[in-house]
Amino acid sequence: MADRTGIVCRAVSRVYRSPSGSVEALHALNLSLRPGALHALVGPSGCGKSSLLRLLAGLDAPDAGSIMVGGIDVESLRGSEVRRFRRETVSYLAQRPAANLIPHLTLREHLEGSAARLAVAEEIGIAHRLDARAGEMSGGEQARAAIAIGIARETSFVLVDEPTAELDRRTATRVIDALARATADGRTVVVATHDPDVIRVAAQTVELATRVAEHPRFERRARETRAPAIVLDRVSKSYGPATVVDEVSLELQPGELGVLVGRSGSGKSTALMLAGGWLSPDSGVARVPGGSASAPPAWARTSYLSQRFGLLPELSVAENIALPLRLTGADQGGRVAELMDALSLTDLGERLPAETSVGQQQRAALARALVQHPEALIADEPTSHQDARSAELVWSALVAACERGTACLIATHEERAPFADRVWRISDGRIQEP
Amino acid sequence: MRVLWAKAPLLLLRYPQLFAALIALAGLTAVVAASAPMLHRGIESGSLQAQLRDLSPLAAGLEVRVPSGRFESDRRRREAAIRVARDVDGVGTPVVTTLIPVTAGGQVAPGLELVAMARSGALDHVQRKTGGDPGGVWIADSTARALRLRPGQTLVLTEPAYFGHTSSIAVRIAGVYRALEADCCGPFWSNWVQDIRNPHPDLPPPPAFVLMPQSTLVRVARRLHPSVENRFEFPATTTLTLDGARQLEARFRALDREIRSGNSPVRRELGCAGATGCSTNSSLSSALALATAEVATVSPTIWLLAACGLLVGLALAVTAGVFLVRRRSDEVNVLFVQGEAVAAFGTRVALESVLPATIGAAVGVVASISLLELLAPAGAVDSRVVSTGIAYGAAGGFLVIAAAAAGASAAFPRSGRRRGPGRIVLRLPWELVMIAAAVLLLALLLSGRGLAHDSTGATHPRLAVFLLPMVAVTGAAGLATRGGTRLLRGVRTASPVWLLLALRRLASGRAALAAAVVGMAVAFGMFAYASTLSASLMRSTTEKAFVATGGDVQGTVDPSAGGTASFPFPVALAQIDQSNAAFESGAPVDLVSADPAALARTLRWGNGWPNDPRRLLPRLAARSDRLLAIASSDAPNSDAVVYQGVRIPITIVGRAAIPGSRAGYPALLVSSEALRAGAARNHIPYPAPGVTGVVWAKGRPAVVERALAASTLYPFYLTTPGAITRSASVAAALRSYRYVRIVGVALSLLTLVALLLYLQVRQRSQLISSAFARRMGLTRRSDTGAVAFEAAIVMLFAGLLGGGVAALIAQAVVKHVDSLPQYAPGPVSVVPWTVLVAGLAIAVVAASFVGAAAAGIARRSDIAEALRLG
Repeated sequence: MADRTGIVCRAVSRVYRSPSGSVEALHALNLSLRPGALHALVGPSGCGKSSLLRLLAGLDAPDAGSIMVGGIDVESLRGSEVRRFRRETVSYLAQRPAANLIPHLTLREHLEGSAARLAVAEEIGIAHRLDARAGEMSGGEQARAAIAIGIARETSFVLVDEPTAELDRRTATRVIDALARATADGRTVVVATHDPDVIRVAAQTVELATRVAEHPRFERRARETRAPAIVLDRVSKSYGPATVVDEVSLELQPGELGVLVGRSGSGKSTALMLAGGWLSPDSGVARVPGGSASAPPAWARTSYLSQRFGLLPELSVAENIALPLRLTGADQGGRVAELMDALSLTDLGERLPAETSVGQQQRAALARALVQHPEALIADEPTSHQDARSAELVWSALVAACERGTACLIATHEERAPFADRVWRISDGRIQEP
Repeated sequence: MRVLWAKAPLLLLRYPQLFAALIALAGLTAVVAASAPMLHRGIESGSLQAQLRDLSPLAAGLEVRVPSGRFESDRRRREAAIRVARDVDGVGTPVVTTLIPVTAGGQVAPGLELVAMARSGALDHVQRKTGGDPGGVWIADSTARALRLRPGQTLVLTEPAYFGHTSSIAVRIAGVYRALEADCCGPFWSNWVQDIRNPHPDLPPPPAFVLMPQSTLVRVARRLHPSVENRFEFPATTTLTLDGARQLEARFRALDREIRSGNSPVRRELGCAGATGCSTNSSLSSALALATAEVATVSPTIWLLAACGLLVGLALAVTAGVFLVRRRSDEVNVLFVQGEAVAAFGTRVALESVLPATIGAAVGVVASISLLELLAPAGAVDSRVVSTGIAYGAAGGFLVIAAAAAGASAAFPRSGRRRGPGRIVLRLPWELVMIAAAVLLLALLLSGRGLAHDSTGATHPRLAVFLLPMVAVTGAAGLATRGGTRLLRGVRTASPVWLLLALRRLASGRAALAAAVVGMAVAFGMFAYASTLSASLMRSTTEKAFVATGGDVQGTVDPSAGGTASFPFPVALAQIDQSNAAFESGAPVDLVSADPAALARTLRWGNGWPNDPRRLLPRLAARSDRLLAIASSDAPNSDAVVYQGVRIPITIVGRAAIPGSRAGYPALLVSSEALRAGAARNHIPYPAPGVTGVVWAKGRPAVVERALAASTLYPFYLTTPGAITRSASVAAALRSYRYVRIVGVALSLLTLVALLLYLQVRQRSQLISSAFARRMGLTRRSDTGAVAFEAAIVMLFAGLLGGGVAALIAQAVVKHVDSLPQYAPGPVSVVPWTVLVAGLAIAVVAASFVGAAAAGIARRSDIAEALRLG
């Protein structure tokens, strides 16, 4: 399992070509990662972190340059050699947790039952879900299950894309610890991340090119008290015997930014879905602008940003952002351009969503949610796929929306919420007393 | 992972749509695979049964002739024949006959030769004219006329002249029947044609039969003739299958051996042990040979069409395999990342497909057997047919498994590591290969190597003919899809939003869209191709039949016969001279002469048929010094014909189809009066020696035939267009085209199912996007309308393309395929626009419903669950 040569990239370039043009994800990249250590790949979304991981994993081939992984020239591998390389040398975990799991297998079946492998699940804190399938797990649980599987495969290299993006701090720490421990066996772990905690424990941090424009921060102004825009009044929701949201109550006034903080599986996404009208509460009342007990709210009054962005794949980024205006026959004016500029999307307007990075897609989805100046915005982990600078753009856009009077209810596992007017901590489906 | 292998056999139960799709595909592929051999067997049996009907069961059965036997043992021999029939499977109740030659006594026509006959059921198969007691003696009307006798009077029978008239016997006449010479030759008398009608028309007819009961005949024999002749006819049953007929033929041979040699009980009991022995005769071998030859002519068509249908079915199975990968993209990506080999994945997909494919194949085999029982003649389905169907159905199911596995393997991700020339080859459009293949096939067809010729000269398409439209449609559909999506990508905006969404989805469609378009184009193309061939064949056959028979009924008559005024329906007499006329170049020409006015009343011609001779007939009646003629389209321009060695100037007044003409021979139609006058001027006989006289009549065939048969024209060989249009080769070709149409319709249904799956998978993948769009203001109607419009456009595009290309190719092919080459005119091509447009309209509407259903089904998915799971 131990490797003594690490990873060496020389002048690696990768260009994606599509009907709408070419995107250069990596340009003449030189890189050397020593073996037996945890390395962090950082950089703004769209800088090529995910592309590099796929190249290292032998899932894709560079247009130019060479890649040596554990002394193996990845580019020279053919047929069964590359399959053996992927099977025995590297473990790759994709950014979307569900994409790392076979839907019809339980976690135990994924781990194939050996005691050592099950111990990894225990270590990462997912052992209680060994008999669950992917569809029966929360997003955070899926992420942990994927990490457990990746580590349990005992390959020399573990390549992980944003492993902590959807995890609360406590769970993320366990995952980071598990990844760090994996290096003790001589394994090399490469993590594409925006997470400062990962960067902190990394033996080496590689920063890929950045091209993010500087944007001014918004200052919060004092607001007068008005009638609440978002209300959850003793709302509860259960899935079978498990109560996911238990008598949650919160209120958010127009122009306020409220943050619901909780670890993975704490019930925050479910609470947002109840507020957004995607789920009906078993008891209690959820009220948002434009919504009623019989009808979900119109997008123009209460928009929504989920962890699945829901961009229409056939429309360009600009068309996706403008879609709500188009569907209501509203004048687009300069609103679309304004938001694209604010979220650093201007150069991506003509691209299809699939031709952009996950972080860029997330920002495009946020722009679409804000384009109609809704009275309320509900956003689930809006910065989960953003690097620090892009996250700042996202928060700036949210603050700007609040300044225009939008009530923004945000779910996040980030403990720090400097712009928040209100913060609620949720655990096991219940709002914790301050 | 071992667990994946363990779960594989039942895994698809977790994906009900894939499971159902594979059942449907395996079912339809099994239908196609099993139907071909079963249809083949059905056509074999149908063809044989048609031959049996044409020849008549008695002719196709076994006839045993016992030339001489004591009259005292006649009853014993007859009973023995009935016992023999009981022991032979495949024959019905025998017809037993006893006969002796006699001579009429009396003064009116002494010495008139007759045949006393006791034949079971004879009176039921003659036209009784007068009289009543069926148990008495019946004489032919020709005999009654000759002897001036009528029922109730006495007929004196004596021994034939060569026996010296030593004794006589009087029998009372119970009735008079229409002489068989004029009423020949129904199936009951098919073995007696030589005894009824003299093959040479100039010689007198054979002696007429005096029909009487067996007891009367024994009485006559006792008085006149100690020995009698027996004929025992064992009729073949008309529900025989080809295998049954072969077994029966073998049994007949064995029976023949027993009768001709040795000392078998059959030989003794039938009276064959004497010095004269017995002879046997059967046309079953001929029926078998004809049926086999006929089946051989359509056999390639059936197999090739089945192969084409199978190919399309398998292509759809490959598509299902691709869908399987798309539907399970997370799993596939995990396996790809973990280095699973494509072969291992494909093998596991095959294992997963075994259960649905087995269920589907079983359903398909049952369906094909039911279909065959519905379409094929009675008795066509026997245990061998069923076992053949099961074997082929199982093979079809296996192929579906293999195709689904191949599709899944092809869609399994690749790491795109190829560089160099191989990469360039892969970038070449695959459609170019198909187009190149189509060009090659077309060249093959145009060079004449795409057709097979049977012993009758009929042409039948080979593999190239049937592959050509498939390959051409596939290539054209692929290229058109490529071009169409590229064009649509140029659309910057469209309004309303549902239209924009539909256009953008079409524009972004790649392999799956191309597969849907190609599948639909090929399926509709098959339907259009078979419909065009079928419509053309029906038109050609009808046209040939009416040209050949001149009207609704044709009979052969004395060429100098006249007098048609008494008929209550239009009748024309014509003379067809195939041996005395030639152009000045020496090229022979058929000269058909008739009264133009009578011909104009009698000819039947379909609306819209080309080359209608009726419009030109009045021109033949014009006064002219020259012989005015209508020429067939293949006749050369000429100003004279050489007729019976004399040059006669002619003027061709126009070109049309000439009734009574033959294929491959130019023909001229002239006025019989003008030809008569010309003959007189040139001192040559009219009618010319060797000319054939025919009568053509228009009206309900049954009525017309009866009236003509009773007339003084004494026509024989009465025939109708139906005899041609119902010919076995036409029926076989039509049956195979009908089969292709069914396959085309089935494949269209299948492609609609595939479209439903494709759209549903696509809509499911956009579940959240669509839900968000609806919150933004996209109405349910617009959401549904976008998908329905998209599906309708795909179907319309595919249908126009596939139908257009296939109909175009069919038109070219029709001219090279002729099921009735012996009849003029040549084949015509007819595109059944109404059928095709209606078919396409139905398909487009169905596709839009499929699109709407896909949108509706996707909307029923749990969006909250999708949002929660991410």
